[in-house]
Amino acid sequence: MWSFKTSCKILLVVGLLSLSGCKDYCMDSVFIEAYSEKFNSWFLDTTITQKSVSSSIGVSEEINVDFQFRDYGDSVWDDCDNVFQRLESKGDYTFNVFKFILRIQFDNFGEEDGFEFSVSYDHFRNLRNLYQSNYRFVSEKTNTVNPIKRLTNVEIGNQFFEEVLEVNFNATQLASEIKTLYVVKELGIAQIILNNGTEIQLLQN
Amino acid sequence: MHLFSIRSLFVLLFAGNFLLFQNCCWRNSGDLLETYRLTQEQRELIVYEQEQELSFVHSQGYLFDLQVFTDEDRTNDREGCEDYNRFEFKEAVLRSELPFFKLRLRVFATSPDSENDAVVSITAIGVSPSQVKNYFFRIDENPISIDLNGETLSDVFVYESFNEEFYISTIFYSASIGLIKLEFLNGEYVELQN
Repeated sequence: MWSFKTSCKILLVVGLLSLSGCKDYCMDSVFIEAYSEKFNSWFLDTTITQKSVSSSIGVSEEINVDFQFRDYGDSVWDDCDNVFQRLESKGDYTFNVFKFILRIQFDNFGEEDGFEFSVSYDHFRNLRNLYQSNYRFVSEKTNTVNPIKRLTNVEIGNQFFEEVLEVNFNATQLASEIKTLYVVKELGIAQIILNNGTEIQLLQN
Repeated sequence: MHLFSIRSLFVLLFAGNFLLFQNCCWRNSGDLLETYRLTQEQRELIVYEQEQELSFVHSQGYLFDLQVFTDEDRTNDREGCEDYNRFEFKEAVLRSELPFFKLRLRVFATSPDSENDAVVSITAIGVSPSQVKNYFFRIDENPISIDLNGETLSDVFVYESFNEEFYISTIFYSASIGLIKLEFLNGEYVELQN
């Protein structure tokens, strides 16, 4: 069998492994607070209830938007008595003469890589076509099929916006489906480009 | 001590209601009273054929097609506990992708013996399930005249929406050539082309 020396080594390794399993998990509260302060500014302005929609094909309409903010309070605890808030901001868009339903959402999950933007897009054919994507602000991780990029100084409808998210729906195929979507900080979706090149702009009333 | 507890009473009441409800369906389903048949003339108010494409132009000049998806004679074969009337109706669904419109047109008789008693309904179906709006006109209503592409049509029925939140404000429908115009709340419109 094993020698005394070998047995001691095995015991030491097992002991170390056990100790590592018991190690407290502490999140970096300073980092989380710093990024929260920076990224929470992306939350949608809940005073916005309507948007004027115009398009390069001349078709326009007024739509109602539903922007909501929710504070879940202290929801995330670590092993070092740190407590973090979970916050959520979402916006729903329903169009009449453009065939899509859109939802964008910003979540602060109160974790190290916990600030996330997500988008879902429902295009109606005979069956529902649902496209989704997400983007983590800290790690810049994104969905590979429908990738999202953070851009700066983007011109939309003769206005420059400092911080913008660009969503590329690579999986869409129909001419009337969305190819690219631009989301502006606080204001939400500002521009939509369809696969056939049609540009749709959403401006403030 | 009471014979039944409150809980037992509720159970009995529930069972009684259930039996009453079931009793209706223990017997055969309701009888067919009358069939409201469409005349050929009424049927022809839905002028479309399957896969037909209709050219429309937006008030800002954008051209697009409305496609006819169904063209069917149907009946409301409703089965239930109560006696019922059967209505024949003819239906067509028109749809476009960009801009998006989905309109279901139906003509159905509203009386078993009157040849003039029919209703044409147009249902505008929006992107979300909550965006559905019905428009009706009776064919004994007085049609109006309207100029379209240099031609005067004298058999046009006008459907108006009195819901200020629904984006289609007015629909113009000709008994001879079908849908000719949709007007919107913001003043824009789409119109049939030659």
